[in-house]
Amino acid sequence: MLLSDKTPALMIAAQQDALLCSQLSQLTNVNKIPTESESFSVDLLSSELQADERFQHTRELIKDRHQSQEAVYALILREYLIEKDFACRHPIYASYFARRYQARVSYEDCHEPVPFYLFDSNQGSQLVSIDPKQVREVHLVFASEGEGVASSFGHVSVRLLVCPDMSSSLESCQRNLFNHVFLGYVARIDGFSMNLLKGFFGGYDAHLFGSTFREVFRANTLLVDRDLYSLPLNLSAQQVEQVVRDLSEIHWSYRGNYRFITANCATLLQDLLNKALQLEGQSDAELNFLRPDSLFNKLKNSPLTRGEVLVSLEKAESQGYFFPRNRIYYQQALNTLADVIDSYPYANLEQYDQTRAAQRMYDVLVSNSVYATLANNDYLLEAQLLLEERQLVYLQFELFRKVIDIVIELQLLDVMQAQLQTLPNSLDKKLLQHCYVQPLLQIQMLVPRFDGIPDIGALTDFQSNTDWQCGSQQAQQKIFNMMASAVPDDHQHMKELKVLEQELVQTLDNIETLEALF
Amino acid sequence: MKKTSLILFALGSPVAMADNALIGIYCQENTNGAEVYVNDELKFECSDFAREAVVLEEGSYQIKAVQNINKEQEKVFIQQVDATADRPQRVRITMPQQASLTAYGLAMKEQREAEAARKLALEKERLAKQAVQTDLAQAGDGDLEAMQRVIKRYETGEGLEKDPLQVDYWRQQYTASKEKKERYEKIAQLESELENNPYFYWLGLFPRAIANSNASESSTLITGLPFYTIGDLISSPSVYFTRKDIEERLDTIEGHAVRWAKPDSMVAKASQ
Repeated sequence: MLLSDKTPALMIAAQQDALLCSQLSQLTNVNKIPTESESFSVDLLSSELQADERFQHTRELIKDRHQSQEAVYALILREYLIEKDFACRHPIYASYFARRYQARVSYEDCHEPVPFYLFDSNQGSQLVSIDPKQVREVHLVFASEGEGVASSFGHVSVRLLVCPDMSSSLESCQRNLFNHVFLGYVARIDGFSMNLLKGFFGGYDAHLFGSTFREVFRANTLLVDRDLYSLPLNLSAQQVEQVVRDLSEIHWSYRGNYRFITANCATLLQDLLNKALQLEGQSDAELNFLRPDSLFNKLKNSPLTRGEVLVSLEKAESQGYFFPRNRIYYQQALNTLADVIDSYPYANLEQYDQTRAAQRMYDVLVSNSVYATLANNDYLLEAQLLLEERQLVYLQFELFRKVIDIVIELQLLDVMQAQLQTLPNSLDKKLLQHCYVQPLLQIQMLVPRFDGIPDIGALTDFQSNTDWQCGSQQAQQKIFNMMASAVPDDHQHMKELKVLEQELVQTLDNIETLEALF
Repeated sequence: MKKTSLILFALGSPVAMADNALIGIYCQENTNGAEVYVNDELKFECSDFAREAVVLEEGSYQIKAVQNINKEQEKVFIQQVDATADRPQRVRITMPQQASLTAYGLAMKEQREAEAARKLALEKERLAKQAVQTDLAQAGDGDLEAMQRVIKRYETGEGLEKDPLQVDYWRQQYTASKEKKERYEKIAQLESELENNPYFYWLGLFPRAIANSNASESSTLITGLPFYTIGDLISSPSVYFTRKDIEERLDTIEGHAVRWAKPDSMVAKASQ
């Protein structure tokens, strides 16, 4: 692309302004690479080559690597003008410059898909590549308020409606649910527990966190009772592509400071939305909310979105715009059982939850009427199965939290490192290092930051390596053996852990017993 | 002494060597009563250490001695001899340790075996009929293995006439009995578990998961690691396969409630 195509307005101005023309020529001299310190004197630069307010907003989106606040504009402009793949790596700046100098930003030379690293607590995190042209819609996703301090006003994130291919119908794209990408700003907690003071006054690293649909569904509608509303933004295909590229750049580059009140998921996300929806600088239209629920309510009733998809939640659920808390379905299962079986032993979910696994199965088997009804009615049997599966999901999560409690209290990360030092160099040591020590220590490290969107090839650390068979029985036995001496059996947490494990085993056995009745 | 002289005379006589061959047959110990045949022609009867000379034309002969033990058994000695005029032959008859069957003995043996086989077949038949009755009785009493045998009998015709209706009937009986048995075994197992689990009663803290599940939403944001990385650290290896089994089921389980309650929801449709 020619310079005149990248900045037509600037070229026209330069034709009429000798100083600007000279400065532009100096700026684009490929033989002289200016450093930040000795670069252009801001006072002498023409106003066309100086940062404006919108540029400062743009910089906030990615927190670029430059230290200088003043000369950085010209340096980045220079990169935009002379680097061929600048727009592929820095779409946020590229779109800013294109808009300021009245050009059309082009990604025709960007042939590679953009990467995202998506968290999934069951499958493990995964690196995915998304072709921006395969994203049909961008949604603002609102998770209704939770009971924790950090989520009392809900949580907002963005969803990319990724299609199977470019020619897919909208319904086919909607059905491709398990390949949709979710991105939301979160506090990256550099330890195992959250410090509320740091949460309020800053200190936690904020970044745009990627998740799979399964993870978002699990973390919101299953493990806690939150409803998910997915609100489509009114964007053209070009705008969608721009947002996808912007999000990838932010995902890999932005490392900010999270505060529950002033720099939270809503405030950080709406900076991006203001850019995407071109609301920057429009004081009456610009999104400027501190609370996620306020932002969502504003947008839901705005022409910037297609809020009508949420008018009928029944329809929204069938189209994938609404995902209610699953508690209502489990309640429905229990109500159905209680309505049909007079002697059904549970009146509500709370009562069911408070009953240990062995007792629950005993209650089902020992009553002839309950047993006979379930054995002869697959629909009711499935309802009973659901109630047990819910317990399994909770117990699995609780087991995870219990282990974390133990790791914190007994400082097992330190123990693990010390124990590893004593081992001779061997394949076992490398396996423990690779599968457990390195991943766990990453919790305390900063998230790596990239200068713009990285090449997939540069993300080898993020690609899953199956060579080590992490998670295998052998690997687990080895780490357990190493840690066993550091964890006394009579520790209260360990006793509780054993109870959990027993409950987990019994609950799985309950499920298998019910399945055998089908 | 006389016989010995005759043999010595015969073996040393130039007349005998002219065109006849001489075979000296020496009966050894324990040959009393054995009849000696040359090419199936009875020549004499042995007594222990007796010696007989037999003059024959040159040729090949079978010397056989047969000593009867009883009607069914005899001992038989056989040797092949090449008789030549220029060189007298000597055959020493020794009876084998093992007796063999006479023709009559052979016939009697076959007769006895046939009788034994007939009796065995009858016994088998009796046992088979008894087994069928036992299987039917035990199956009627709810024995699962007996029911399976009865089903097989009606399917194959083994002991019972083939009968598809009976096959169906016993299959239903089997399924019902099996479920009943498993149900009561499971109830007993659960009673034992409820009585014997020492942790639950005094901990008094469970289930925390459900009670406090809304207290912190941060855990899933903490690590970016799959559950197993944390879970492996101190979870007992004895529950390893339970955890693996659950991990494999989770994806299916997590959308199950929606699929059951709202089959037309997008989650249900996308799961198909």
